[in-house]
Amino acid sequence: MKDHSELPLLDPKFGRKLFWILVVICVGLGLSDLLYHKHTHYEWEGWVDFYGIYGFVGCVFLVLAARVLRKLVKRDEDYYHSGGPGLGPKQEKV
Amino acid sequence: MPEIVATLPPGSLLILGALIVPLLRGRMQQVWLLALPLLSAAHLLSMPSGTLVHATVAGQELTLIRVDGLSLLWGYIFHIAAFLMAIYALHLKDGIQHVSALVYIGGALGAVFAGDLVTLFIYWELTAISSVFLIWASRNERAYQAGMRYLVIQVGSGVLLLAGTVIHLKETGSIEFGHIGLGSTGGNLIFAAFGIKCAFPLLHNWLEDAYPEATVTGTVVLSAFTTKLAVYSLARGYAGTEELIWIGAIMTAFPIFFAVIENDLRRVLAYSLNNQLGFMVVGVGVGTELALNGTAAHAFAHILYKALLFMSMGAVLYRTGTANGSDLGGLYKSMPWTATFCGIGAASISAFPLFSGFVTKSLILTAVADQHHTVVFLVLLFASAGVFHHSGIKIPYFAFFSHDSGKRCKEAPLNMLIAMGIASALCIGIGVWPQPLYDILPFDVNYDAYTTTHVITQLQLLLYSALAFGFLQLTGLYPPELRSTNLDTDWVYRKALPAVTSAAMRAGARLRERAISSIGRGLITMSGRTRMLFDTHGVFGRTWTVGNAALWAAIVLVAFMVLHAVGR
Repeated sequence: MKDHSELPLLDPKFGRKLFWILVVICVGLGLSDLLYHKHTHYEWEGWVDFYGIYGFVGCVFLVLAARVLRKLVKRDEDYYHSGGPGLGPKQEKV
Repeated sequence: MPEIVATLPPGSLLILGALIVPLLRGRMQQVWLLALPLLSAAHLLSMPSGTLVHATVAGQELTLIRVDGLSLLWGYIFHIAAFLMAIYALHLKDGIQHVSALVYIGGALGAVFAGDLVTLFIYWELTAISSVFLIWASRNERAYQAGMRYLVIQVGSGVLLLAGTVIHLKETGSIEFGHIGLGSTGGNLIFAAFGIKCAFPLLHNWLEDAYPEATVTGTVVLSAFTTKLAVYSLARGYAGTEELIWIGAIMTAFPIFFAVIENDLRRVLAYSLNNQLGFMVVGVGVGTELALNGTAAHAFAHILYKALLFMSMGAVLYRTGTANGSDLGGLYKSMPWTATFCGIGAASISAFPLFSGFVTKSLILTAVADQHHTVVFLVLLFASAGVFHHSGIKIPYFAFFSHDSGKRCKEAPLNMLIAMGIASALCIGIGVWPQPLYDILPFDVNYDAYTTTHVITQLQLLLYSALAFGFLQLTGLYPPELRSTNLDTDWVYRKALPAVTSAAMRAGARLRERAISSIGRGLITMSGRTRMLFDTHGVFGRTWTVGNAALWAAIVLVAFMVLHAVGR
């Protein structure tokens, strides 16, 4: 890994700080459900922070399931092309 | 406008204009490429609504032009896209790509305004044949093979459409391209034709296979027209077909699992394109005015943000020579404008408030909830969170942030930046002022996207998805970008079928060999026997004495008499 002084946004410390800021925002956003009247089609939509929790759980499930999927479908990069990966649309590079 | 031009179907000017492109060079060619979409748009705007031009071919009346709310909306967005793509590809000195793109877009426009199924079929095939050159223009073996597969599938879809049309004509006596519906053989065949072009589940993989093999500009062009023409055709012919609700729901959900583990970022976008089509298909399936408005509006917004995303990844590919997540990262300082525009595209596809997806996708979701399709509603919600996860975060993150790939390159060319800038402005414009888009939808709209509930719940859904991404990254659970090939349904015709056929061929060859050798052995044995019997010493060949012969004749005679007596 390269020195990050040139690209400060890639600093892992910055990433962790961003994550904790996001945690605070999410908690606030979840609790904001208590402050207004939700207009919903379904009763469960009205539960506090339903959308947030559904999104979080959904995405964790998505990624964990994709990890399993990768085990099943992952092959070598040149699985279909013995010529190797260098054959992609690269001729346009300037 | 001269009389003759008024009778030309929309898009014809692009097709005719394309023929002149090879004759022009340099600045003149560039001016012509920019002028053509504008001329064609002016042509469309000058048309009165209604069915306009009829022609009679082989006793069948063809309706070459039908202008109504649905076709006009597609006409508008196809022209906007054509103009943006002309700007994006302006640096290109490859005549084949320019001609191919113009004919392809012209064909797609002609199809949208076709009033009967035969005219639709002709344009349907034209889009297939013209667009394959955008893939072949990559000029390498991989692109050639992918293009061949693409062509076979696209033309095949057209053949199904034609067969369906013929049967539909027998069944109903009409070739009008109106509501068709499932249940009859013709209707089912046409449905399958549309389904292939719309990348229905299990029929989808031509899209993910071919689009990322096209050129930098070619993929951008391809992303806009073929599949949206299919969505239009479904909306025209199969609105309210219940099966589409489930087909669409599956389409929104299953490609995103592949998107998470795919390394080629243009292929990730192809999977997310597939996912977005799912929302539109659900809208068609629900079939209420609100739902169809949602499909139309979402197609409109989708063409813009998806083209924008493909443009940004195209610019990265153009400058760095790769679109693989595993080889990219840390480009935000080298390509700050491209990164910003990519972010706007990502926010739009993720349906962040103030961006286009927010005001269009929610029409479909509301329509689904209105009709009490609870499970489908939950699937769409999951897919909405997932699309932010893989398209909204993964694409910009792995290209521009993540880790430092060490790549330092120039910002994208000016023409690309201008095209991305206009597309970004439109994405934000639609998000902030949706009313002009709502005004041109096929049905009257009474819908406010910016309610407190909608804004807050959508922000919850999206930011918690971002939280999940951060959590999975920090814990190392997020699957890293790896150089790999992921098997999808194309495995069936790229590996399994060739393996089966070549095994069958080998078995056939062995069988033939065995047959030939046994026939050969048979012939040799036979010739030996013949010689034994018929040569000068053989039973039939040798000379017999008269006495012997007389004796044999007598025996045969007696045998004959006995048989005769018994037989009586």
